[in-house]
Amino acid sequence: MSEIKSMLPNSIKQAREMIANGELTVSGLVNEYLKNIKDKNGDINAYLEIFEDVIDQAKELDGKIGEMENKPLFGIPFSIKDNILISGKICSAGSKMLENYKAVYNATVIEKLKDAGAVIIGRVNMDEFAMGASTENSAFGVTKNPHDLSRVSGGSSGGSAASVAADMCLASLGSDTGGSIRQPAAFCGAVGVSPTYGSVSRYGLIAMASSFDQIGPIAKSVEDAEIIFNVIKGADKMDSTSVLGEGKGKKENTLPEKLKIGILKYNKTGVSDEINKTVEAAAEKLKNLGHEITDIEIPNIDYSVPCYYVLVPAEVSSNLARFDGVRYGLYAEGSNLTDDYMKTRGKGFGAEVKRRIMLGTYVLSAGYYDNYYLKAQKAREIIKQDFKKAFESVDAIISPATANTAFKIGEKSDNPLAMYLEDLFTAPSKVAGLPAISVPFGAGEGGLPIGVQFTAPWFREDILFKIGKELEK
Amino acid sequence: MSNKIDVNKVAKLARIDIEENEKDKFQKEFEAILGYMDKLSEIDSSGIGEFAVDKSALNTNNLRNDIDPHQTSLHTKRVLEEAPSSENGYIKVKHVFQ
Repeated sequence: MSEIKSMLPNSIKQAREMIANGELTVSGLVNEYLKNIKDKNGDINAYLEIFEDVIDQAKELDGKIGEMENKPLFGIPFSIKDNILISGKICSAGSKMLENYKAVYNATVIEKLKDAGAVIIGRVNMDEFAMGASTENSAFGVTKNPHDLSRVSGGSSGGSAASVAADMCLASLGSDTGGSIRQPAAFCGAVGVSPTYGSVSRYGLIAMASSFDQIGPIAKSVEDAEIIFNVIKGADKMDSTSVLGEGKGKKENTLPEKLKIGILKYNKTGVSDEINKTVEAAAEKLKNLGHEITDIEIPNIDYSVPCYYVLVPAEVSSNLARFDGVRYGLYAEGSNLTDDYMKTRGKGFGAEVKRRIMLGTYVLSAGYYDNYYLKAQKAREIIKQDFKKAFESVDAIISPATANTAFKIGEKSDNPLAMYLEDLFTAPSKVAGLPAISVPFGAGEGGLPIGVQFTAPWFREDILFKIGKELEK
Repeated sequence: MSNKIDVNKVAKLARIDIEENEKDKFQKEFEAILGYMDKLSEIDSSGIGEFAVDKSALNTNNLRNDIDPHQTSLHTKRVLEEAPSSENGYIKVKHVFQ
């Protein structure tokens, strides 16, 4: 296996060099990954499907090598989270509801990847409809952590993170609603970016909670994540919430050499020692590189997770109303139309999806709306104000990405609240719509990867990439 | 906040058939989750009016202009292929009114 691994590039830059030098063709590169998938996917269960046209995609690119210069992802093999539509391919969202659903159009990010020359190897596993933090909620089995097969890969983009970590692709696209890119990236030792709300088009992403959902890269290095982000970002007329990031705050868009980085004040007793120490060590390293390190407090940050778990189920209950056995997906026949809906949804959805739809229905129902939904919207505004104020004094915030390293399969699957608390460090930035990155830094007990998280002001992914690259050097 | 949640009623509102043996489990889970959400009642939101919430960027509706429609029936065939039941170019459902 090590022999195969040595053939594989470690970065997009290296892969491009290998192709440009004629060391490897795109088909040759793809074949190396396919061999690796054949070896490992049976154990890890990251891929749900390898596309039958993958070699054709590679051969086509081999015939157009002259176009490489203008295509930043030329020949780069990607896996795609199974909630991003690829025309003509099944897109299941990890659910029985869409087990046989074939997408009728390409997501904007897929068009952009293809225009940039990427090869799309296949679709990868996830928690059903992106609800979960372990991929245990997938209808198609758990994705195991490549570093320890008895542990989860994290979630919901567990298939993306595991496929990158196990060299079953060079990069992946995931989606992040409350931590679904950064937490699995941290657990698997990959880089994960949740971009600013509105910076990447969600057209063709199966919606979970529309005021939170963002598509982002999971990659082997910060530089790779930056290359991919620059390909997929931008306004799209098909997603009216997408905006041109460059437009906002352009005046101040200078990137100083030395930054002021705030260490987030948080309750250290709820976080493992090795992670507390890793965050301190990362801050120390950045200090030694000349950055100013200070403390920063987000006074109302503890309300982020409760706020998140009111608003997200509310949006879920509305967004998932479309799965009713009428237009697409599973259909289970009942005695009348309403009974058709009840049976279809009862049969098609797994427990966590049902839980969230019902919770969302409850918090939006008459008599409870003010106490839950409206209160949470106000909390969201307060948390945003806290971050806004913090970014008047610091350029970025450093914190853990997760409270612990990857947990054992089954450890939290019977306790939904414990699973929700996995979002402790990743939910706050989403409540505020901010960009955040998880960068692997060191390892904990058993060699399990640890992720350090940075959060930057709106549309300042450039700050995240700069700090991330310096940290991983 | 009261954490009484009527699982039967909510499941019906949500149009989800749940099994009799799932109900107790959901009930207990909902109570634990809603108990945790009660933390929100502690936050002082007196300075935030409803209008401030409505104006926040994350909650602004931003609709595209209803212009440039695609050619009629361009996607009909592919879309109908995904429908569980169709007839004469339409999606077929049971009677809405009995």
